[in-house]
Amino acid sequence: MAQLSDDLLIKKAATGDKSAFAALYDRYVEQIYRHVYYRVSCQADAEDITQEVFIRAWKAIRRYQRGEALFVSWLLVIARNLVTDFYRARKKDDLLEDKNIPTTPDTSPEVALERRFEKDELRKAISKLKDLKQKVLIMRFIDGFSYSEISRALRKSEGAIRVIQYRALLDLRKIIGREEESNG
Amino acid sequence: MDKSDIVTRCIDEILEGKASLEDCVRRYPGLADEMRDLLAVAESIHQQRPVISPQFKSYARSRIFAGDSPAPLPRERQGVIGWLNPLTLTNGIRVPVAVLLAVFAVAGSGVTIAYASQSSLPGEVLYPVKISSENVRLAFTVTPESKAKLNLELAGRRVEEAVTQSVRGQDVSGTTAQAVARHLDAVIKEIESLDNEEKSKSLISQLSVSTINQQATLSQLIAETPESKHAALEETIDASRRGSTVAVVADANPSFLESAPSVADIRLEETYFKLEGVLQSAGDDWNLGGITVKSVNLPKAARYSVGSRMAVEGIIRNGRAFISSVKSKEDKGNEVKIEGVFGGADPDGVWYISGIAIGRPQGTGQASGGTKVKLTGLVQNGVFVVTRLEAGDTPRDVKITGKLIEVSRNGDTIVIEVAGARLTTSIEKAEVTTDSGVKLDKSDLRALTGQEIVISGLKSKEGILYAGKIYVGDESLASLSGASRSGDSGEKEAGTKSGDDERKRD
Repeated sequence: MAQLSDDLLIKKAATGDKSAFAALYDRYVEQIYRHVYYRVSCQADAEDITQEVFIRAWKAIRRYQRGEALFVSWLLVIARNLVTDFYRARKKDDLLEDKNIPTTPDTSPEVALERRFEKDELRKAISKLKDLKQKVLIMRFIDGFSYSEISRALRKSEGAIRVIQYRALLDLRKIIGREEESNG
Repeated sequence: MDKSDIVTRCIDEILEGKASLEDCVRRYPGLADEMRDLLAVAESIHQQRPVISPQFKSYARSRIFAGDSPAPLPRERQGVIGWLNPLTLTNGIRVPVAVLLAVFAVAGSGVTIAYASQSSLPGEVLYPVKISSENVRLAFTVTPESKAKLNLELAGRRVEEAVTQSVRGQDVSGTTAQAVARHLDAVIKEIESLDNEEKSKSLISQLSVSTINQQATLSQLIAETPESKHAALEETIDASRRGSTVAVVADANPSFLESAPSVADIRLEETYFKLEGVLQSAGDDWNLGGITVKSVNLPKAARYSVGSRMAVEGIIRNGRAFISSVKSKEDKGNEVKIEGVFGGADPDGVWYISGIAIGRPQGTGQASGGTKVKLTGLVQNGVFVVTRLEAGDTPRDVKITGKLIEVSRNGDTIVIEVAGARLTTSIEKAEVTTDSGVKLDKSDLRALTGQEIVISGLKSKEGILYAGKIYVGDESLASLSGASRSGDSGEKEAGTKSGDDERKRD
């Protein structure tokens, strides 16, 4: 099922075929989870929101219109709305303020702290990039989207996305370099 | 390729494990430093990629379908307004107390009661409210099409209740099977009343998909629950299977619905038969290999050829044989095969299989009435000389027959068309064999696209259908050796042969 086209699965899901929607879920759940997790920085919240994304998508699958937007872009719109609601509910507008980084049971507190520090430093560095460059790096390296998916979502050619990614990495290297220098 | 392209591609290859940094540096030594730096940056982001927990993934998947179905239809969205209307009921319908309670619950301060009742299970206090509110919805659903759809939804709801009860370790209500049968019968009745062929076809397909999914879900449940709790589940699976049988026959031959088949009739499938032999005559009655099938009612598209070996399938009701499938088969001389339910013998010793007299048997002992049998032999002077007697299908083994439409690229799933409905099925754990037991590789299925296959042991877990075994016709082996590419597979839809005797039904 994993190889059937999104269009076919969506069409079947719209008729109430749960197995077709389950296949779409399997195909995109990790990307959506990563996308959400990067924005809420808490495993439990990311799981709740991710689950809600797919529950809403299943209920609204008949309203999905296959046009320019990919199915995954549609899921991302739902995810973004839910993340916005999440922060609105908690009165947290600045995503980078959230320090609630989860640890795994096998992680020592020292390592966890170091990771959290690294993660925050990296996030801050990424946040200094131009919006489009941030989007491309996050979609590519955190969310795990292909160039083709990013190009459709951001309405730019795949070649342009590669160039933006390259420039974003160059800029990020400079930002990190500057910060390392200023930290001594 | 410019520098940005080279560096980007190298980073991709390294992160995907297709190349090492050394490989890239060797290929583009002039970009070594930049590549190292940018790779380090890319890796630092990539390492932050969170990993989803498998437990969450599996749990969330099961939760998706616990709520509402996709986008309620506009009519259903008007439910609350529509539910207020029972107060205007004037056509003499007796309104039970529970219905009034349901109306009150929706119209008055009891919205919460009606809402809460929707998740109630048989035996619980609010369950009668749930059923009554469903009855109110049914009473105010006007068109046959919407009535059929609502009944199909309600049949599915009864099955879901059985699943929930089983998962909670409760006994499944003994009335589940009757409720499922009642709703499916209502679906069939509404389809029969439709004048629109296209809508009928679509509803038959929906009936097919729903009942197959119900059977597969219940079959999985039976496998996971102790035997002491099987009875109610088995009765329910039987009702769904009869619904599926009606869908298959009606899809091929809509006139079958005129015979008012009922899912509640536990003997409905006792007259389902498969017969294969040389077609000796084809008037109102057919003679196949010496066995007479009376009052044959054919599908519109059926084509057949007198003098050729044919295989027919159908069901006998009210003295008429409603045929659902007619195919030409490879010549096997006078051999006859019949499959159906043994109904007993008359005083002259003539056996009846699914209501068809096959003659006096020779070469076999007595069979018990009501059992499924497959007989192979020859008919000579009113005697059926049995060369092989096999037991029929295992009861409640969920089995579907349909056309193979598609095999996924990785070979893990297939799409099969049954009664106009397409079902996606995982074949990861399935075994593929020909009818005679020759094992095939799953990858062989690609060459059989467009041909008929049989899936048995179908189960459904978390909304996904899983095939147990896949059977393909022995003739399909010819396809695998390349014959299919020339269009000369052994099994053909009837009528693919040319000849003077070829007939087509008007």
